[in-house]
Amino acid sequence: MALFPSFILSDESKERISKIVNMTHTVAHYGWIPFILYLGWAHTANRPNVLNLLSPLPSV
Amino acid sequence: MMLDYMDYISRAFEQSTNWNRDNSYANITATTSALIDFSVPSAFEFQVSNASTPFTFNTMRVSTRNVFNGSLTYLYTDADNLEKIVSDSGSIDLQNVTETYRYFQPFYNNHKLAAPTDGKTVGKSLYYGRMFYPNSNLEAMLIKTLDPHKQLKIKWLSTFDDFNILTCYWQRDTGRDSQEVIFSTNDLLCGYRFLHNFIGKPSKMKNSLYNNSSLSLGAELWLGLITLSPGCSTTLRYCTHAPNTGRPLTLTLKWNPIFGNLSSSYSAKTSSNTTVCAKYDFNLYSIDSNLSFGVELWRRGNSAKAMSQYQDVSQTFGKDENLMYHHLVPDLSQEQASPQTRKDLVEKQQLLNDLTTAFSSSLRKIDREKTMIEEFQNNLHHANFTSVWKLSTSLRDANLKVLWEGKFKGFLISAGAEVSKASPLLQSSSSEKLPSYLSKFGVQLQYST
Amino acid sequence: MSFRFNAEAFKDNSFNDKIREKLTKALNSSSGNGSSGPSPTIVESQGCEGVAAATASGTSSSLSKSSAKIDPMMKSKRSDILKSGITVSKVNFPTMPKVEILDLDISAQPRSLVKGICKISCMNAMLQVQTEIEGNLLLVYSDYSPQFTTPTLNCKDSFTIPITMVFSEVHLEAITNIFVKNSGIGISFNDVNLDFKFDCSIKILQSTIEKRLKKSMQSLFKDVLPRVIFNMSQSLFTAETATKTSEAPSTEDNEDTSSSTMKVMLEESDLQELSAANMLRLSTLISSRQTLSLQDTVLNVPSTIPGCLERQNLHRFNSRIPSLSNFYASYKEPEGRATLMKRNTSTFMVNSHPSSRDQNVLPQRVLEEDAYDLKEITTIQSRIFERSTDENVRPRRRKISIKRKPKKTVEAPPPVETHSDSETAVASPKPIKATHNALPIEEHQPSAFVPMKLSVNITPRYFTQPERTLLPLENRHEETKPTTLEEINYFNYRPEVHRLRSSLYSPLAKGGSILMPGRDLAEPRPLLENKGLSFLGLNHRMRKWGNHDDPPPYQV
Repeated sequence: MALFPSFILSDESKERISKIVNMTHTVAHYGWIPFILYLGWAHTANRPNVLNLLSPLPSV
Repeated sequence: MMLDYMDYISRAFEQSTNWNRDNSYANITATTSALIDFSVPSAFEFQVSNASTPFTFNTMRVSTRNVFNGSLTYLYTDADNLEKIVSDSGSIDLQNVTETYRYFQPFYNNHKLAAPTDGKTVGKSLYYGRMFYPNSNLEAMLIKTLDPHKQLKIKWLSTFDDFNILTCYWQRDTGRDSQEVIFSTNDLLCGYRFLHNFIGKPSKMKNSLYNNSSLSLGAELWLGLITLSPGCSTTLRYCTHAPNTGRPLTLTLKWNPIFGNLSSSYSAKTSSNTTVCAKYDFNLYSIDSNLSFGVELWRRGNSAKAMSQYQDVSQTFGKDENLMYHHLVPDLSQEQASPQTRKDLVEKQQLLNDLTTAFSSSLRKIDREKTMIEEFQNNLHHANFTSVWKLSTSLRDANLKVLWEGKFKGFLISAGAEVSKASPLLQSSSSEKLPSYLSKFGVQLQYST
Repeated sequence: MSFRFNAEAFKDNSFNDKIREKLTKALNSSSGNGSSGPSPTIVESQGCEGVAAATASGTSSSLSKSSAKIDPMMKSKRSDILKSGITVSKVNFPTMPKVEILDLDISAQPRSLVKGICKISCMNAMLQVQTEIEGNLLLVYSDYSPQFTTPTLNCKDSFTIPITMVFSEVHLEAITNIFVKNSGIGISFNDVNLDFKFDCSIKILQSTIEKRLKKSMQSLFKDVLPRVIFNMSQSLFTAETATKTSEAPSTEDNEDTSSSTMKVMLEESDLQELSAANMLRLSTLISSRQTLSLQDTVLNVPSTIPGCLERQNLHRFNSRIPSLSNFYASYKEPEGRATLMKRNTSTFMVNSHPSSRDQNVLPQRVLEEDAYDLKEITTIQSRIFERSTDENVRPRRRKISIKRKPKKTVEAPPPVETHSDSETAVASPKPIKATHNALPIEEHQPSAFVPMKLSVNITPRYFTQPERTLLPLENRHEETKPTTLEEINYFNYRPEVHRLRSSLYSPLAKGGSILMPGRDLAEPRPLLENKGLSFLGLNHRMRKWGNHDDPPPYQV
């Protein structure tokens, strides 16, 4: 954002954009693994228990 | 160090989608680096992995060096047949989870194998996410096969202290040529690398009629746009087999034109249980040289199962009718050609059959060579190895690395140590004798179901 | 104000070696931990502390040259690029660096104790730095990037290039403003004029490195150096007030928390001569003189400092010193006493007039009224003698008997005494009138010091030195050249001064005595005898006690 001088992007909108970028980053950061888990859950035919998917320990 | 479970899965994914890992410039010297520049674990590490469904895999890793840290990894892929390829740590083949001698197949052989599963590998993807414990950093990866010869790989490292790196790979592999375009946001690094496989032509130099050797030439170009740091190198690789014993050997010659570094390596499987590698580096500008050696010693468990498997394989080879014509003959079943060309092919085959009877003795010799090589190969592939010792040393760095990897009661264990002299940064200007010391030591335990 | 400048270090060229050693050490110790940040690692070598100490109320430790700090910025963006340690192979300062005090104002603003303007200059120096760098930047890149997102590079061959950087004709001139406050020392560089020729063995990099150096030089003088000096002095000042029995202030000063990439290195040897206790006492003395406050309620007022005599009470002290005029004080001229009393209350120039001081002569009235007792005079004179000399020197006595009027027996001071004119203090058997009139004031004046004679072999030049340096700017100009050379001689007496100071403040100095170097304590000869009283001049105004031409009669 700092690349643009202020006459192209006002300081306010710059701030807003950086806020949005930050929020997107946070969402992507914490949402990635749940997304993987969802894919695995949705793709499996018998819809396994979520705990089963989460735990790295061998399921009984 | 032993292959991480997730690396193992992603290799299984590549295997499932018929992606040839070795046909890439990044791995052109994989054999040398596996034998000499292997890494040694530097902490106590424990991994538990689990294939919770045929499509999802997860790993929990805990390691302690000075502080306790760990990570949780989840992987999802929609590739087929993974449950057949992936096996748990008790029944896994040790040679599949260790970085070892890369047995490179000439590209036409590979091409023939790849053909039948064509069309089914398109659009497969792999999602990978790894969260670290103390500093909640995220490693994310996405692999997508665009068509049988192209795949896209995106890696993303995300942290909250302004350290986000995105690296994209666009890879294209037609068997004969392999190209790759890489872009990383770290230092705005751009790269391009390619690899070309020459088709072996018989020449006077070769006394072996059966041609199972391959010659590859590759190059890479890098440029970091921010620091303007350039890099390039070119490598020639030649893989062949010893004519008498059928054991594979690889020769590489790497040249870095910018810094004048010339590196040649020779690696060979001297027997089915040992691999030897020697590397010689020489700098044209500074006349610096370095000689490195690496040895691998495998130990087999005497398992009857492995032997019987091996017997089966050799029998199937014996029955194969087309064995004699090997790669020179186009495969009839593969050609979706018009009847006329088909007729031509039949005529050709007829001619070949006549030739076969005419030169039966030499063809038998070829056959013998081929069976010898393939026997050796299968022997390796199906051997039930229980442990491996790896040793490597380098004259200039004056270090010694020792690594032991093995299976023990369903666990995969890798333990290693590195002895080296004090690093040059710590020493003062005086040239006093530096004591050797244990710079690295670590144990890694893996368990997977 | 006591001022010490260790010029010994600069006399011969051995300080070049010392600088080289210290620089090498400083540069190498920092190169190990520089991998954390990409910003330049700035190492303050001892040159800076030298300046800091010199300005810190004058008790300067060895002031090394000040341009030693130019090279630490050598490190390029990442110090990981270095493949070996940094060697400072050559240091050459053909002329010694100069510190010139242009102006010193002790009674400046109420907030600061001392304000001064100082000129630091260094000419024609040369410095050569050698190291090895990694030529393959991609190797550095892949080594310090996360493995996960770094593509496999095949061109990771290490290629080390030896690099030699020569700074020649280093020319530094800076005008600094110094403020000594209660909390610390503020310093600002006003007129920095730094010029050097830079020569790098790799010609491609020369312009880049030079540009970076010049750029970082500004921040060094603007931000880094003032902050480093202030932080260091602050730790010295506050550590002492907080705990009297505190240990020696930490010699490794890493409190630069504001910017973690900055690494400041102070060496013990640079600080050991700078006792915080003494600095504090000196500042107390200065402030009390400034404010005329003598309250005992405040800690560290001069009266609580043992051995410190306030100027205002000097006459009381003098009145108890054995001398003929004290004994017959009641016969003194009444107007002299009146002026004395009057001045006592008004100004601190109490006994400034030499004639009103105690002299070892009999007042005229005593002789006129014939009120003297010969025995008393004998005891007084012998006590004076005892105070002023060593025990093992036997006095040579001479009895003078006068037929009709046996006036007195006079003990002549032993001629073995080397001090210049104290023998004139004792009145010779002249006619009494002549005693009073014949001796001119100029000759009498030094004798006033006899009772409080210093048996310290400090040269008079030592005490005259501060005045020389404190001369106003106009006067200085013509004698700039000789001063620097003369100072070398003045500063030869460093151990003595140290000894003097430590014995002056001995009960309190125990806390800080850790800082004193052992070689100074091993001085064989005691500088101060118990019976003598030493007076440490802090100010050039003290000189107004005496006359303006002759040095005080200190024992040589």
